[in-house]
Amino acid sequence: MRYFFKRDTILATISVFIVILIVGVLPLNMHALSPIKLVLSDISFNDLAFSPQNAQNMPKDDRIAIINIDTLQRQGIADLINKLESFSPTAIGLDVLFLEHKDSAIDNYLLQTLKAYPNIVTSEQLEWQENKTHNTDKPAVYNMFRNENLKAGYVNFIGEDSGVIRYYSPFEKGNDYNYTAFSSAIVKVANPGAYNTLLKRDKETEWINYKRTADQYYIFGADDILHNSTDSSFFKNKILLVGFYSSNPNYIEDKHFTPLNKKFVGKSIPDMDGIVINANIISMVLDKAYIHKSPLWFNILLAVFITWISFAIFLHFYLHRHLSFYIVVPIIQLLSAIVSIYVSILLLRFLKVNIDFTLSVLAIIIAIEVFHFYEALALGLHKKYRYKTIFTTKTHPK
Amino acid sequence: MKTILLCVLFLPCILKAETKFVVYQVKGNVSFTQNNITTTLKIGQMFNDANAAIHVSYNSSAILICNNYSVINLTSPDTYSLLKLADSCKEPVGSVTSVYFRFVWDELTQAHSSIEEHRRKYMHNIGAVTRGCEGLQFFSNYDTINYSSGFFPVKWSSASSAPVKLVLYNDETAEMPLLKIDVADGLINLNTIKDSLQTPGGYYWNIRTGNSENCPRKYLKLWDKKSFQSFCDSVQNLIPANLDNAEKMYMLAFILEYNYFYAESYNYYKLANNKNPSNKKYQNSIQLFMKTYFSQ
Repeated sequence: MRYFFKRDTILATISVFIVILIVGVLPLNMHALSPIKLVLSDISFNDLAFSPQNAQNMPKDDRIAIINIDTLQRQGIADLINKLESFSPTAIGLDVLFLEHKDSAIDNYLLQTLKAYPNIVTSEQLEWQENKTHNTDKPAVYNMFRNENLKAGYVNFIGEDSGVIRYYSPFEKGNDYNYTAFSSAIVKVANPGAYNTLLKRDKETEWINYKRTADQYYIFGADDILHNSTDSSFFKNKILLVGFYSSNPNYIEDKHFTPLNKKFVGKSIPDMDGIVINANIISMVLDKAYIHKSPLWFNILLAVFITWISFAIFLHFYLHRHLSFYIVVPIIQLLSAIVSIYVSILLLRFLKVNIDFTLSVLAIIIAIEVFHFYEALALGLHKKYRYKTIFTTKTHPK
Repeated sequence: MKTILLCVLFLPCILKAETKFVVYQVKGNVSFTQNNITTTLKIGQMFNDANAAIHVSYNSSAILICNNYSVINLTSPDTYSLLKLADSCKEPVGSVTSVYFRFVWDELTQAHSSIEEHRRKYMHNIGAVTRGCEGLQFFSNYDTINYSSGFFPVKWSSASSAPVKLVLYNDETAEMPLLKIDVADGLINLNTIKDSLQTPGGYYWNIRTGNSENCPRKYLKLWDKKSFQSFCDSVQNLIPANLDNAEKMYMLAFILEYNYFYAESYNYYKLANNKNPSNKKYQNSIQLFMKTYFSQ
């Protein structure tokens, strides 16, 4: 407590953030050169907050049913939609991309089927074309059935190529365009209240709150539905996601890595189909169970507070127990990093709050170097300008 | 004290100025002078101060990349003013190698960006299946392939149990195939096609399941050894001579892949890696290549 409000503690704390600011604006790609980046590419400790065991213990979400089209083609898909619509579902999301024209009669049959029902959402793909110097703002849209009378949503997730899917973008807006994600478009049809909540959040990216694996959704085969082998009353007032699902882990078309992967490091097989990821997003939006991210000002304030306390402790040891200082300080640095990561995981897991401790950990790591730099600077200023510092009298008596 | 404060306040603004050059390679003793302070030139170093200068000693060299992806090769011992070097960056670059130098520029200059901050760069993962070619799924984008020699498997999966043939045509609309090859296990090595055909040139190919072709035809250009070597030579002539051999191989591999020579680029990626096995960039490129083209 004694050193909390000393000028040196406060100025040393400020120095840490000046150093971080200067390093932060250096136009160097330090990240690319980082061996940690190379070794731990696409690894996030936050993934530990999502437990596959917990997901498997969740009750099934009976608001959503997944219909597996397997090898069904355009005509079969149109037949399936006609059949499903006779069961009065709330919404049907067609998680299948049609990128090129095929047989015109079949294409027309599918298009007319899609247009016949106002509760159908089709899929499309957005792609931002890169030119030589910058990304063009307006994306190209791939959906051969795109039509004013048809609802559509993009099926792009956010993640490194073949990386873990942790986020999605609910809406993509630009100067002259406004696209809606596939899941957002479905929720808009099925539950306008939940959609409005999503809209009001106004987030460019949302974390996906993975709560369920494929086993926690009802999955039906298209053949069973077409051959009347299922209880059709189940589908009434449900959200039906029509797309491809395979329980075979080796069939990886449209399978992605998610934080629910049982292997945290060295993931080998993608664990979740795109349609199940979309189901998880829809469940999250319907439940309004979003992951809340701490604002930048809070992260900065937290980092300043932690650094300030650390410096007060450092000063105490440096001035009164100088030998212990060199043992205690590295231990404090290590513990701070471990505790920060652990607290971050716990907050995410139990409170669905993501606090970014990166700045705090960084500040703690560089604190000791800045501490010594500040000491030298303070002594220099004292010598030249009689600057008053605690170091002059305590550690370097004349 | 005031000077220190001013420096601290204005340093970020100075550093944010537009970068004109980035150092791609340094050999021997090369230094950099700015504001009367001389330091050793380092790979990845960026500068934009026109008043600065680079000093190249005897038996030394440096390669810089401009912000328009043109390359400046400093091989003679001399002092080079950045003001004069900047003139070399004004000409637009259209050479086959500029695509590689753009890649290097981006690698060295892009500040780390988080996925959340730059989401559109990371929106390539698609959460849906595609229904296009009935019963047939190709595992990679094979719309165009240039091929001379080497191992490269073209892969697909068929939902049908009907016999599968690879058919090859003279043009996109021809009715009579030049060649039919029975294929099993959903893959064929391009070498098999070349051996069966013998004649170099442009062809269109498709996978026929039973009697039907459900996908658009794809383009395959077979190159004879001489033409391919001539293409490689034209690329190699543009590669700075003072690059080390591994980097030369890597650059050639990168440009070949960009030009759809997949089998050949894989060979050069391997050669680069063999010459410098500890280079992470080479290791990662081979892994990425195998994941993209061989893994499924």
